[in-house]
Amino acid sequence: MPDILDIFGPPAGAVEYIKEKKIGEGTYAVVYQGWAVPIVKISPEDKSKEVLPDKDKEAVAGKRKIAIKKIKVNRSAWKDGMDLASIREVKFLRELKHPNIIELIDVFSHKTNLNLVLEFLDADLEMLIKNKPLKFSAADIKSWMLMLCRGIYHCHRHFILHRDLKPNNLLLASDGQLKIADFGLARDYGDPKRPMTSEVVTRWYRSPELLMGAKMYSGAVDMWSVGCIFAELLMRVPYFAGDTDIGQLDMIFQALGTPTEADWPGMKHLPSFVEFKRYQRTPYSQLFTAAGPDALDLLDKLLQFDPLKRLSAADTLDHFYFRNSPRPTPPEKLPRTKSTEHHKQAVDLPSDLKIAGMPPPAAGGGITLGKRPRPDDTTGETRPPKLRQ
Amino acid sequence: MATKQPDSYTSDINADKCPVCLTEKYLNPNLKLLVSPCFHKMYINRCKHKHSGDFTYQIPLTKKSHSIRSTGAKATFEDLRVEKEVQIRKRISRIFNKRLEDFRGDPEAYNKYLEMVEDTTFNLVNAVDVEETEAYIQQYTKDNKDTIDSNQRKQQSEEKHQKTRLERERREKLLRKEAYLQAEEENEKAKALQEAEILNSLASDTTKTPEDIIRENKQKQKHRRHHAGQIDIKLEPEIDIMDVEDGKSVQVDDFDPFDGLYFERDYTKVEDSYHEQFTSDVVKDQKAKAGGYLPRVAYERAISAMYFGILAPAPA
Repeated sequence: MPDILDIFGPPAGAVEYIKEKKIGEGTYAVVYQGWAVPIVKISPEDKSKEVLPDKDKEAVAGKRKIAIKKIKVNRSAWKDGMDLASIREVKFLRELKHPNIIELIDVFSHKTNLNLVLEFLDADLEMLIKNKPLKFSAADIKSWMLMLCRGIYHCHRHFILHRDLKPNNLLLASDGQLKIADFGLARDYGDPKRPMTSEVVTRWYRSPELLMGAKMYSGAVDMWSVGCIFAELLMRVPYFAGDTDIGQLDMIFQALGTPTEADWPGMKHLPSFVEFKRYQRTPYSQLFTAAGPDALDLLDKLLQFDPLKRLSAADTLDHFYFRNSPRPTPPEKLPRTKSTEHHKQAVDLPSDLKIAGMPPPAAGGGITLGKRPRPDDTTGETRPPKLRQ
Repeated sequence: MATKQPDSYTSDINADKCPVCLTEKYLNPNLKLLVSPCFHKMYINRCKHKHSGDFTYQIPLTKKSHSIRSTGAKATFEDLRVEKEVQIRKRISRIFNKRLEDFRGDPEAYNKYLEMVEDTTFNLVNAVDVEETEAYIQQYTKDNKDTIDSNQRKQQSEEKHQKTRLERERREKLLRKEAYLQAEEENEKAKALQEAEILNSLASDTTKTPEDIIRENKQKQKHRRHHAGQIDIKLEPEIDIMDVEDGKSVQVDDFDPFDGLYFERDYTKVEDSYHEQFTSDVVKDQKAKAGGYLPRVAYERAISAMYFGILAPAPA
């Protein structure tokens, strides 16, 4: 029996994905750069002609640069089933459509592999922070913070925790938009009957309640990471760079002062609570000499020990820091790294920083073609699923 | 003849040798003149004692012991009484840095405060009730930590502002000078050119009298002078990180931090607590509360889940 495609040709809106070259490899995934090319419908008479000769593919209008993340499912690992991080990534990225969250264009299986088609982004915020000759203005920092908070607000509004925010996971598109990527540790929250694990978030950006082993937490864990990233943007070095979990807490307390029961009620009940040396707080103004009072006020409210006192994503966006001058820099005018050759996928974290079993973050950077559908107030899929070849 | 009182601050006759190794200034010009914490001059063989542990030495006149390490920087003023007062004032002004606006503009209260600061300074400078005064300063620092910090920040930013403004003015001046010199040079050139022109027209032009030619040219010259006199260069104040630091940053209008993406959820309201069994464990759980989890999160989720998608467009 002939294939249905042979009779009717490809359906309207069908897209073909072409792998171009390998740009990165992690324990669980290989990332390729490629193109999404819309297939032109051809009449049955023309069927003998090749649909799209390879050399013509460059010329097709409406094609889009993509990253294809091939999840490895080798036989020996099969007994554990598929990598949980990839499942999480698919599960949440299918739901979230927002200008500041990486777009999962498609998911398909080929042979025994699962392939994620993501928008192509080739820079991340970490590269920018480490590029010391690049100067950030207050408006630039505000712009990144605004995009980050908008993305996070979208996640939290839909009861999804990212749980691995760090500059390395904030990718930058060629038009300057910041996009939150790597949802490998994300999960939904709000169910009072299901405790969550406290072994999440890269240590330097992990909140004190997670470090103390809290099993029930909320969006505040992400907001702590946002505070750390904010501080890092201001200082150009990680604010709390601890080498062990205890060392991390010690470092936080040295900087912010050891919290008392009044600062953080119930702290003593947390599973891994230990009594710490009493440190005095160092005033922010000594560390962040270049930051204005607005910025310092926001930073202080983001780095609160008590997660209930910490600003939520919505409160952060409502903070006067964003409303006051200077206006955030328009994304396309933000500083960027010169080398576009340097691929995000090729960057790897030092092994001690990496959480076991984490694949490298998905691809990022890219071209946006056509109008992106505006996410409306729903967690449901807003984009009709594309047909694929 | 009045007997001259030995003045412990200005003349330490024995001080020109290092109190630790007794090297004399005369023999070793490397000795540094430093000021001890009790404000006496002291030559110290710094390079030699820098790494050799914590020596203590005695000031000959007051018999006070100090460690080499605590011996302070080089003195700025010849008269150490001045040095002492300046240092004390520096320290006091860092702590007692309240401004008129901290008293809600009440000049009387502010005056009283300044009087108090001056008394404290006087006590320290003239060694009156030093211990009590120190204790008072400690207490004051503790009580007013926030005000002190924020005023310090204000002051720093004002200083920075001042610095950038001065820098800008300096650059403006330079540019103006350059422009002036350039204009002057051009003037010279034009003058030379004109003289040549006059000579030329005197020689060749037969229609005008020499007086006419000279008068015409003089008028032209006047006109040009008038133009050259107007050199005024103003640099745009740079907009940088400093501009937000005066604490009076301007609110930007028409800015929506939410990017206009969301509907206001006015069709539902979530209460802080409900009578239900679902969250009863969490309500009592201190761990959950310390971790930032409130039953409200569960209510919000349940209620929003109910309405999610209700306004979403139908799938194509």
